[in-house]
Amino acid sequence: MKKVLIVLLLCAVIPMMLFAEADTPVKVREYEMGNQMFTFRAGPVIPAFFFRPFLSSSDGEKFLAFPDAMHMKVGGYGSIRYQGFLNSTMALGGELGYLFAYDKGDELFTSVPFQAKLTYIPLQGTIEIPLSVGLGFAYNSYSGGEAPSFLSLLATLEAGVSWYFRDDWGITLGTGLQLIPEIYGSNHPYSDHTTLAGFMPITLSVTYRNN
Amino acid sequence: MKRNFNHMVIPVMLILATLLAVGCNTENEGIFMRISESVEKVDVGSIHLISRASGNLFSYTSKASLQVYDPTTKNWESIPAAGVRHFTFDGTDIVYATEATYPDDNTLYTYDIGTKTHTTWTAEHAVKAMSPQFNLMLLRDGVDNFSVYSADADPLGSSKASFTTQFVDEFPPNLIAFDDTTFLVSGNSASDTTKFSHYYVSGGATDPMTSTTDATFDDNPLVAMAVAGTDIIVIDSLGKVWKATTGTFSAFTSTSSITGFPERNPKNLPYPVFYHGGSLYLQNGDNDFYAVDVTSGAVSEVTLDFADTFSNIKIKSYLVVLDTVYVGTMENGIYTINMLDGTATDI
Repeated sequence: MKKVLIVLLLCAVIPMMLFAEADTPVKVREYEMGNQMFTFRAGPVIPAFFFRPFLSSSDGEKFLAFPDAMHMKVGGYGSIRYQGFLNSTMALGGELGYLFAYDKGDELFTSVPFQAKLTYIPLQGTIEIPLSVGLGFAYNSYSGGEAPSFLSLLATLEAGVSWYFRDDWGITLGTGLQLIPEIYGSNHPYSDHTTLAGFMPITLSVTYRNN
Repeated sequence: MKRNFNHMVIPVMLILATLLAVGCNTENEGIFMRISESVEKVDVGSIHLISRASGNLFSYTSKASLQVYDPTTKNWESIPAAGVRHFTFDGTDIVYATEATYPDDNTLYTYDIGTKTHTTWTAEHAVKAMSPQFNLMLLRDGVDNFSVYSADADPLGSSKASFTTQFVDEFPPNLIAFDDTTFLVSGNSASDTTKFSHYYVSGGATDPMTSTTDATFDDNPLVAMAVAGTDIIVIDSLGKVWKATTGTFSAFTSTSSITGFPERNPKNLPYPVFYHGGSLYLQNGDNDFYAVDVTSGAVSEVTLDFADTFSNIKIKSYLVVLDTVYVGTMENGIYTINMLDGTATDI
């Protein structure tokens, strides 16, 4: 009986000793001002919505959601981004991208967004969660009709999950919303065509970071 | 701190105002609106409507040559015919001519749409143009000689109009038809090939069309026409609208112009138009619709529903059947316009 008790005690203590060894804190990389990130992103883009606030009901629906209703097809998005850290959780930089999607008639819509981007990383380590907002411009073109184009504002919101498989290199699966307004003045004959367009890129990113 | 904030307000407001200003799109009808109205392309290409019989539409398509379309089943059926260059409808059959290289003659065929059989004409002709819906064809029948014939007889009957010295082989004229008996022939003048001569033919009479008050009438080929009673309007290749009345063919005056009329090459090809209720309708290069009142020559933009429907669709041809206008598009199949309520529907 005494031997059994000793064996049970050892069975309890040895694993605790092993776990105690495993619980030794691993040094987590911490960002600081001056650290930098370079990111390459690519992936499909889902047309999310058109919102036409001034359109009369006889001319169409004010809100069209997702590709079928918007008469668009799933397109693509790619970009390059550079950011520098302001402190241990916030990074500021810029992003230049290219978005494309075909409409139902196979005419091509393209947008070249260039934006300032602020990223907040609340969870850091091997797995990180970057949250970003962006503000800038987009040069938009359409191949249909007389091939119109225009420069617009651009706002973006993004979230993702990153995995740093090496200290300097990581991949991120992210998504978000790119908002492109097409604004007509109240005196314009097509003022009711004013539209806020939303596109949802789903991207896989590769990030290189250094300090 | 408050002082710093106040200093920031003005630059921030200026930046926001700049952002709003550049975000305003003022040059078109709206890219996103157009996208939301886009329609699927039909893989036969552009559609030149020829006739309607037994509910079916006969056409020449850019990708599949002669075709018959059944709107009920939405099925396209090919009419076997290789190398079709010109085509017309004689009221019963499709008459078409195959490709030929100058100075060779074209081989002509008659396609019976009832029995679906092709008959080769015994005689060949140098076909320069056919009017797809109005049983007319323009032939070169001698050196610098051109004549217009009906296409319903092989051998040919007598010509409807002949031009023996007015045009030259180097620049063959073109045929612009309003119906089976009223048409015009317009082309480079033989005396000065930088200028254009125009002839109006109706009821067997041929009259030269000129303008004693505006010499620019001869600067461009005519590409569309319409007649209502004694009033005639024609449109030149720049989109300029000219008006006269029967009996005053030397008094054409310019009344207006079509905004956004497209430049085309060659510029003397007939422009797609349709006539209904005293007005000539056409789509400009920006896909906007305009109506030309044949009596006054006034041009107005069409705001009926069908104009919206075609805001993202380019049109190749029209076929008018009473108050229904069949529309052959460049890439999007066939539509109908109901002229009674101004709506358009794809069929």
